[in-house]
Amino acid sequence: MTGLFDSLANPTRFRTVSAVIRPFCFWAAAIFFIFGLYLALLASPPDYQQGDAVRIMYVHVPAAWLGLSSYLGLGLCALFYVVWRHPLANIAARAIAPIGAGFTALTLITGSLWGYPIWGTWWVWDARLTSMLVLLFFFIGYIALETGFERPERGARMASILALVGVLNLPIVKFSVDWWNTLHQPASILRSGGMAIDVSMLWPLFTMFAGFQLFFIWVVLHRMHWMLSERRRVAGKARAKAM
Amino acid sequence: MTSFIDMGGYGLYVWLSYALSFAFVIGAAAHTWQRARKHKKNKGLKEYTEQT
Repeated sequence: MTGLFDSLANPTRFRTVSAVIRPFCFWAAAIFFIFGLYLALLASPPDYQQGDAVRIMYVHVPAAWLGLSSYLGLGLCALFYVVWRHPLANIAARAIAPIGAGFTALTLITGSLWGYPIWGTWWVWDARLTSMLVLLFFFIGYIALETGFERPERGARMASILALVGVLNLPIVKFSVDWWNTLHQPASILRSGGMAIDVSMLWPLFTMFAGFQLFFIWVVLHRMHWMLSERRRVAGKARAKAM
Repeated sequence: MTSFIDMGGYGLYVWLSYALSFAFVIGAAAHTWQRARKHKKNKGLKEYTEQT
């Protein structure tokens, strides 16, 4: 793991590898999205209780998984930056944060759109919804701190520390439905006793998740690519000024 | 076709969820491309142009 990180942590090598991966991710995401939309909107059956409202699950759940996994990625990058001060880790964190925040906001919005017709309310302050909102605040806090200091290194360090604190919220989000009584349903996929979802709904869910995941990788790699270029340009300008 | 759009009476919620999700995906992709193009245009970024 450390060896892989060390080899990819070289910006030039990273750019070479990402230039190969990005087109693959983009086209694979497009294919998964097309196939996933067909499965989610046409091929999958309506739920016996919720009817067609269950189709919101195929965008809500992948967005939630991406919100959580992107925050885990942000936390790992923050750890690498705080401990080893590697600039590529900071660039990766900066690339992840707004996209992760977007997916987390999307989770909350699509959750409300699903909750209103099924629960009869747009929002309740139950543990799952509240901890997800806290996750969004951690993303926003990271972005605000990262950009809010005159000295970028100081901002990056402060934001990384906040990101590490926010990692504590991840198990709370995951296990909130087990630890507290919530209006939100308990876990259906990652739970002891096996999955509690029919295979006819599982395939559209995983296909849509694959599309969102590949899209996420494509965007983050693209953002890192131009952030590295920008950093190099600024460093070049500073060097030219000094001479 | 009408029943497909109606989604058993949940059409507004279902379609709005999908519209917002893909608006975010398309918006993020467009922003990424726009920034990449801006950097490509920058003459100081020869390396970037060579690689993309």
